Amino acid sequence: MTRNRTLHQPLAWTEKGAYIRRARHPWRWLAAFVSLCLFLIGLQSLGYLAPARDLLLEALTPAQAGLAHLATQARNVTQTLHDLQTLRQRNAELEAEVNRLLVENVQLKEIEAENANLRRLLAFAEQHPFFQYRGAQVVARVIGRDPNNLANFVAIDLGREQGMREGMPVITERGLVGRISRVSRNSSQVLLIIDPASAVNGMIQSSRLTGVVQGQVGGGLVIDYIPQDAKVLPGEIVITSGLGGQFPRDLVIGQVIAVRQRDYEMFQQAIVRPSVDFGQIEQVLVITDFVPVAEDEEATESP
Amino acid sequence: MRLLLCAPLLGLLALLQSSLLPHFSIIGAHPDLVLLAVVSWTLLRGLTEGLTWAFVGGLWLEALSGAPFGLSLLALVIVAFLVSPLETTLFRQHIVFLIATVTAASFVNGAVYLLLLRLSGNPGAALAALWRIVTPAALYTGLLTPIVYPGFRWLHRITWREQLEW
Repeated sequence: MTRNRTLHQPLAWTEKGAYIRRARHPWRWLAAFVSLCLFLIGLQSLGYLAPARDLLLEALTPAQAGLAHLATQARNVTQTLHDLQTLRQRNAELEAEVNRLLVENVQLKEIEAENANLRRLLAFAEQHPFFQYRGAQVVARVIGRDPNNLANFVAIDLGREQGMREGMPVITERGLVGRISRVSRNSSQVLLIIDPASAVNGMIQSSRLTGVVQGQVGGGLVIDYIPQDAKVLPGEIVITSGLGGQFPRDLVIGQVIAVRQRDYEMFQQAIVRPSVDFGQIEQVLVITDFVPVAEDEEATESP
Repeated sequence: MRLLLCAPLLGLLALLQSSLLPHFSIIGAHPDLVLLAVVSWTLLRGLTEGLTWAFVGGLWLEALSGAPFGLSLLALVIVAFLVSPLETTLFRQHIVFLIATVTAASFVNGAVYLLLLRLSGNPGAALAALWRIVTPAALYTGLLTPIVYPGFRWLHRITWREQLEW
């Protein structure tokens, strides 16, 4: 610490009873740090920080996976104290059955709706990809969540080395989780559909009305851009429409729980409860054989 | 030297915040350890070190986050700046004061983040998020203060070399 401190320099009280020098010109310090932040934001937007981030994540992924494993183990131990083994097993069986029946139910309704359409249009047999989201999948483990409470991303333990690409849809047996938004060498970030940055083209299964399913700050889901004259009822299932080519069709998104209709607005909205419990996801499936439209076009354009 | 101390420590805290603490979330919110560290250190060491910790901690959060780059970083730097005048108060070691400061700082951090999110063009119900997410997270973080803060005070003592000025 300098000896030629001026008498005007502000002082602060330390816990050991001595005076220390306080920073002069706090606003200048703030301006310097904010400028540094803005400079880094600029570098990031130009892509210069990506290699450093990749390197850092490469080093952190094993630790992150280890901690996630530890947390899962700890939770399992706590759970075991509360539950009897047989009850847990029975519960898991019933849950799997419910999931299977839910998916089967959705598929059957899809088939029914498609048959009705085909009959009405006098169309001939058309192969419908009933099990299109049962295609090439890989199982990934969730190894981290976004450290910020207001952002909804999860980190998975598969990356570029394992064939992950940006835009690949991520699902669980209960429905759509999100899509891969950033890929590192051995890990990826998944943008959840409940994040405000996420928008998925959705469709109300029974009425075939399409809209945009938008994430909300706080983790909710809303299906927007439904025409005012359309009738939407609570309890209806919302699935992906496949429009826009960002997601496969017929993935379950959730269920309508309320409808927001205001006379002065052009469209009505419906609040959707996601079918996936985003607080509990531990393993997810990544659909690797689905190529989002934008990516497909880029691949075609490249020599 | 101080950077050598804070960088790995804040990295560890960010890692815990990302991997372990979400499993202990209450009504959807988990505590913000990095913010707690930044606020504690700012109260103990003042503006310049507080800003440095905020910057380094923010970078760690950005590395582990999928959110638009820079929001957590800027929010933490602003919070460190706002907390720094409290360094001179005589009550800064009082536990109630510490809990209140950390809770308020966490709330402000969330509010600044939401504001920056809105300014960067992301829609969403900010007021609802303040009530439903930011407030529980702030309270949770504040309640952790009596457990975590003594660790930072200990670290402050062993790294602080008393220098007489007079």
